[in-house]
Amino acid sequence: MPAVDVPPVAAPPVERILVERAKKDARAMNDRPKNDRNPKAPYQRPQVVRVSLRPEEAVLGHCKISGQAGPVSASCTTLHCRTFGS
Amino acid sequence: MALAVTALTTKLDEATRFVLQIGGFSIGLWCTGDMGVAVDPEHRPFFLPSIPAHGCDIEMDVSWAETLELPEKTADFASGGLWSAYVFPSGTQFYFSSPATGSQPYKAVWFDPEFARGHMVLNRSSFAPDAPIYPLEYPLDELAMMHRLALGEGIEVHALGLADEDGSGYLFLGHSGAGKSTTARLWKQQRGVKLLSDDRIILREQNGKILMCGTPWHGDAGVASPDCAPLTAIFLLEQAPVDELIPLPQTKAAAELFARAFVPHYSKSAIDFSLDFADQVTRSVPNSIFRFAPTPGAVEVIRHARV
Repeated sequence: MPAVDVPPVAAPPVERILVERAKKDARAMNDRPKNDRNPKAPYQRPQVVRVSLRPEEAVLGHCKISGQAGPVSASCTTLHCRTFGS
Repeated sequence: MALAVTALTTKLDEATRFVLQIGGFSIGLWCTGDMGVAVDPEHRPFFLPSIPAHGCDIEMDVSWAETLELPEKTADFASGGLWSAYVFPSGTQFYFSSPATGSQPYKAVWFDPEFARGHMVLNRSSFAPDAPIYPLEYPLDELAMMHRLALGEGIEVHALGLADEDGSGYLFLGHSGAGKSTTARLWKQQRGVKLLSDDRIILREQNGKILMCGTPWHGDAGVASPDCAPLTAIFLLEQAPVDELIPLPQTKAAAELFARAFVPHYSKSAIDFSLDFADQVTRSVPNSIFRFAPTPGAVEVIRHARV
């Protein structure tokens, strides 16, 4: 079966990595001596920020503007590309 | 349209040699002698006239194969597009397939773990006889770059990059359709502005500062320069009826930068480094959302903001 028919394999979820990093940062903050903290710095509660991700663009899965010499660019059509991108 | 590039390549007895430099990395290819090499006109400025004495940062040899089969193991990552990655202790292998070229992969590349050496094999049956070939054809060129960068050397982002006449370096982040090429055309009309790329920018750290470098991978405006410039501000592009600059908190800016970065998403170490680098980049300069209308006034809004 051609690789193009295989849906993307689940990668290590970025969200899980971000949560792990946030926990690590929180531990590091708690480990700091109290006199090392800036008393004027207001506490900011950690927040989950959602950003827009375009999976096909992010993994170079779309068709880029073509013109190069090769079997793909010469036939860069919707035959094998779900989306086009600049 | 691709052109034959005999002037840019060195024809040896049994091989054709050519070297590009992108984002500070030299990429050298040795192509087997019977392979006619061609390249886009936009790539020409990235070709080096001579081979670096110490060799290239990424060296690849290119040869033909009569057949090409996928590895027996399951892909570590399938892009859903043209390429899949198979990770082995000896390095990473990429296979490129398309229904347009049949059931077999049309190309495969084996890289060492450092992404310093690669061996490329082209499936002869997938290529028209005697037709010129660009072995680094998309997406291989960007794949090689993003994997090398993710080893701790930088990040490639979906962005327009330019240097204004006063030396200010602006990065305009945006997915496809956000207005990168439109913005590039607006700035192109200004005197003293150096455009780097209207679609792909490589960010690297040099002497404590972030440098943005142009790439051959251009957008609709066709901007592709091998130059680099220091980064001084980041703008997240959004099209709107009127121009407006909105400060973007650094943590949000880091997330937005990462969402427009090209990184090996199947590699934890690559994601870890890229997140850290996105954090470093967005801490180093002011970040804003730039809602803009496609008029020359958009340029003035940016220039006034720096005062």
